[in-house]
Amino acid sequence: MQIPPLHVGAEAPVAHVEEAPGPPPSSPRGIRWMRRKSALRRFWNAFRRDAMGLTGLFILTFFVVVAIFAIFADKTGTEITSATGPRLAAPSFDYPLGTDNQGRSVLTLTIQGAKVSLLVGLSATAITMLIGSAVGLVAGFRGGWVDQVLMRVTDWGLVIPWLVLAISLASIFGQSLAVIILVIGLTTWPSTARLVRAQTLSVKERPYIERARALGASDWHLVTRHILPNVMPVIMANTVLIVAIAILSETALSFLGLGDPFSISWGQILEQASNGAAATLGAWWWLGAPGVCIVLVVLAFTMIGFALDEIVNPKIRQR
Amino acid sequence: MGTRQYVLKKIVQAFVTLVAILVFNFFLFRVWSPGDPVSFLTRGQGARLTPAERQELIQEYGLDKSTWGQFTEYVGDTFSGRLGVSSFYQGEPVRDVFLRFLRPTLLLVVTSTIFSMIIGVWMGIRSGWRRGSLFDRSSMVTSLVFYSMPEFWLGMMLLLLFSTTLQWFPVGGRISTNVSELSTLGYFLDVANHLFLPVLTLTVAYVGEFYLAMRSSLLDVLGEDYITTARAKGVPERFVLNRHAVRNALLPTVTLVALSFGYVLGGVITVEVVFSYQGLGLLTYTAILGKDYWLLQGLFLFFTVAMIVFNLISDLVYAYLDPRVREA
Amino acid sequence: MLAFGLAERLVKDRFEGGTMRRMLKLGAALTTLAMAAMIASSVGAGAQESPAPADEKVTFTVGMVNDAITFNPMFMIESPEYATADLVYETFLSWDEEFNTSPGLATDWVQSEDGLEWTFQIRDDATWHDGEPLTASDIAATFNWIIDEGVGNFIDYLPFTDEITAPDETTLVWKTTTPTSAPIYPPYIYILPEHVLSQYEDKADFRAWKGFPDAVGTGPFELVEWERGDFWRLEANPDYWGGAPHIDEFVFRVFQNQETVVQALKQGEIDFADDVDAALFDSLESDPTITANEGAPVYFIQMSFNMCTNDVPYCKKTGFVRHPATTDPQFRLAVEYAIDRDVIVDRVKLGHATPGSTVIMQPKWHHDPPDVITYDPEEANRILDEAGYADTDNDGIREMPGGGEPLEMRFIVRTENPDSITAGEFITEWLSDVGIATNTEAVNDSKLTDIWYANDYDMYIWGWGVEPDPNFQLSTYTTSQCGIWSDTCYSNSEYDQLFQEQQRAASLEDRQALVDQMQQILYDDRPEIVLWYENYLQAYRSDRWTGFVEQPSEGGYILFQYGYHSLLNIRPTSESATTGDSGGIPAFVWLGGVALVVVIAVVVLARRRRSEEEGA
Repeated sequence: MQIPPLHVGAEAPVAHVEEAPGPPPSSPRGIRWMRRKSALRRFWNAFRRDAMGLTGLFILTFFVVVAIFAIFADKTGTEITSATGPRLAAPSFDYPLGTDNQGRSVLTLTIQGAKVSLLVGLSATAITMLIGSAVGLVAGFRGGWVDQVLMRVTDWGLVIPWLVLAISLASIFGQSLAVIILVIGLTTWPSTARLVRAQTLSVKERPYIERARALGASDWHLVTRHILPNVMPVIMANTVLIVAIAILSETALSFLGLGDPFSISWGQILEQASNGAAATLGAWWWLGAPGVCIVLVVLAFTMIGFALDEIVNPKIRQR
Repeated sequence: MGTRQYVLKKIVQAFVTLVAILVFNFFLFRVWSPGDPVSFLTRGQGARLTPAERQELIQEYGLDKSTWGQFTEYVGDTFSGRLGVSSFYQGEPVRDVFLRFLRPTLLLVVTSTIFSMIIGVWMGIRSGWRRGSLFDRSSMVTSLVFYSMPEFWLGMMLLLLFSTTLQWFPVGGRISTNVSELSTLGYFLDVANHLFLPVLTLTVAYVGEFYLAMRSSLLDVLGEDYITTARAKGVPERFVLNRHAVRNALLPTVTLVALSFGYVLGGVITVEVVFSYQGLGLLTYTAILGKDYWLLQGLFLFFTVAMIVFNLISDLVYAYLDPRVREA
Repeated sequence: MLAFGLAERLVKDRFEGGTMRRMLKLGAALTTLAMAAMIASSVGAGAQESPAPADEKVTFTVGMVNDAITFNPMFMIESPEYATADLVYETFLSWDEEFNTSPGLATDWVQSEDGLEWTFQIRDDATWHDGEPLTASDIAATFNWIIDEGVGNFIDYLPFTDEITAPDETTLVWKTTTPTSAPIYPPYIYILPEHVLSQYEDKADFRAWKGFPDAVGTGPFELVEWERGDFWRLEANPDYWGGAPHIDEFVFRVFQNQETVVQALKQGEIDFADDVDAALFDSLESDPTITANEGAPVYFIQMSFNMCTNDVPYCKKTGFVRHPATTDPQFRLAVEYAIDRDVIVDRVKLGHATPGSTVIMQPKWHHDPPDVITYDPEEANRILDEAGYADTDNDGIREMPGGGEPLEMRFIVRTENPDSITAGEFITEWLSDVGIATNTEAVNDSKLTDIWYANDYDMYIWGWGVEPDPNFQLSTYTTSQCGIWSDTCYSNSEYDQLFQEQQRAASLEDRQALVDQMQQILYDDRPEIVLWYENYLQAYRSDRWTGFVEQPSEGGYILFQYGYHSLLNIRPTSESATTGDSGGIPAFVWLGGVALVVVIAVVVLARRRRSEEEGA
């Protein structure tokens, strides 16, 4: 199980904003838009040069395509009553990834699994990022007792071992996709909050913040116009890494039997394989296919996340 | 701030977190769990208790009182070690059940953590120092791959390879049943034999954490000005590494050990299930299946308290090693 | 161990400086602490858990998935508990290989002319494990205790009892209020010593005893060790009246799942795998060291409906939570039409079962219903339509007549039985095809027992091991068994009436007719749907053991039988048949390998560093 990166020694990443070439735009919004575009272009150039990030992106795109395909594909292959294939058959031309112990094609199961696993991963991440960013921003920006209280809550969240909490919540609130997503989101946000807070603190100290405040900018304006855009790169990098963790979390929960028994995720397939004595019966394809997919997808997110990290944090960039 | 103030502050923080945990634990398992605790005891064969015993337990745990009354009772009980009874283990006190399963898990976790820490840190140093080298790139890729792997899946694959196919190691369990016939050395070897694959699984799964963290923090440090200065001054590379870089890079890794405990725990639970290793992880799994809420509550308490303690220790160790933190 | 010492040296050489010294001290301290803890814990645990080493013993180890919760012979539920009690205690009559009643502790019996008195001759050479001799008064005491304390588990074995006495040490007299052959069914009651029973004041007191330690029986084995959740051990009783077993030790070992049981059998960690999964069973066929035996069915697996109503005393007292549809016979009929037993037998049990119908499967007593319900989803739909379960909101799920609650059933399957989980998946899909939704949950037996006691379910899957005599099984469907043995709290006064009559039946033919009638009633009312009769799949290491006896003698099963047919006969094939150690390569081989790798690594590193130093 991964540990969310603590971003040790985090310093403010400098989101350099260049002046765009060409005729200067007339409105403030126009200026902002030009700056954003050039920032993005610069970012993409940096990312393109990172072999690791590109590989990750490539793998991820592949799986996203598979997942989208799964949404529209025929689902009857996952139904146990309509399974017609030979039981526990090794990969063959008819069944490229073999069959499970009920004769269902492992390929079909794996494709459908992509959809659910990615869905759960992304949804749980959305919750994590929302809560974590909100808490981190507010704590970092406000300071004082608000900060103290929020940090205690965050510490408390960090201290609880996630699986034990997830298990407890899932066994009390039942087994459904919604509960799993919620549970993962609720157990993962603290590390994001910490990171966002550290970032907010350092951005807060910058001269232009003070200037804007002197000019009479409201808190809301400061946060949305100045702080958030500068914290955003770090949040983005973190988000990608959190997805990886969310997917692994769902896998573990499903394997322990806490997943939604009606949805096919990669973790669920592994659970069925484990119950179906796959290891003893030598059905390496049944165990291997979902496992390899999990590794690839998580690897993809991790590589992208690390690449983003390097771009966003100048200190570890290659010189 | 001074050492004493720092230590005090950290202890107070830990205590506050502990209180929060107790409250949360109480609400989660006593108030929110389906079926109220009173009926949990009084109906069903769950604890196989006689009516007299049930009444005794109800009174002992104050389950007939109001929520606030129950909470104070709960806190008092927890501190005196009365953690309820396990329904799965037929009314055996949670504390006793827990102690039975504690040692095997400690053995597993401590062994794996030490191995993965030593190997991971060493690799991380080597990698960060010789960035871009073959060693760096290959160990990076390997670590990333294992980092992305669900540890129980790794366990299952290792089981498939080493147990089913090669038959080198036993299939699971903690000890063999002819334990009584073995000498002490034989017993030790038997435990080791059963421990090999689970330890291998956890070590491989977590080497990546230490490796990546060490490497990244070393790189962070290497970007610092004083390193450039040292190099400019002509200090030999090896001294730059040893005296300056590693020393500072190791500090965050220390913190990592404590925080990673929570994630190692997740791994321990699933790995113990895969290997049928009779420890706290397997116990948690059994408690889930049997909806043994009181046992789960006790386990939850233990794991979180352990985390708090680990964090506190790591904070204090950090302070011991880096005076800057204390004087901040 | 070597590794850590070397690692410490490595650390020492690399780092210098003040902080490093602190770090080093800390590291060294931690490492030593950890090592000490490791050694202490493993040795300490060893001292605690392993009794003194013994001489070379013949040990027979059985692997199973179900765990035992209590060994109290009066209050057991799980099959491993019964399997163990069968070795430690005895019933007063036994069974022969064809399941007919045969002599046991009672050697002879006769019924009086008026049928109201049974007289049994009790053997004089049986002794309790504590050395006391068994007498007829022990048997009388056991039976009377059950009657006096109202032990619901067993009361139906002792119907119409007027008085049970032991006029002398070898004679038991059983007087009944009406002629009945119940005493020779025989009652499946473990005989306990009078001097032990009398120590307990009442049933509750006795129930608190977990059956261990101090289990005193007359059987061929004694229960000597119990590591809860792990294993329990029995030692042979050399003074057993039927002859000492050829085994010194009998060990039951609990595994997490079927897979590990079979693996353990293949690797020689255990000698016998009981109740093997169908797929795993097939995989054992090709193994030359293992014999896989498929025996005549003793178990059926059923899907039970919650039949609680306020008319049933236990339901009323304890309360119940169920979906209103479960008590509608039309609903249950439709469900039976929606299930394809043939597919389940083929796909779930891989052919190692037969489709179920009535609750008694032993050939001697089995009744084949003239009109068997087969898979017919159209018929199911038709029945549900006619009964008024329409899908008014078009969400694919029917509602109660009049547009009430949707048909969403809470369906429970057992984690101890993966087949039930797979069957559950099939049933879920079939039911949704006819507009019935299910919330399926897999729990372990301990939890299911709680649920069942609380009457808080709609449907669940469980199973029964059916005795040779149908009396007990039929008793579980009577009204008075709700809260004790009844699966569903089904209540039918006509059935209850017939049950009493069959216990009083004058002739075997009369009784058979009544038992047929009862089976048909249960089939028609279907409080539970019998899904399949399960062939008993067992496997053992035939390279190490021999002497198994089948019961019945044609196509029967080979262990945990009614009576000690295999048990007293099995013996090792050769001298060196001790088992128990987990297979694989000996530990010192790989430990040595690891040490070697570490030494090489250190040497290489040391050499490289030396060249670095020289070069710098």
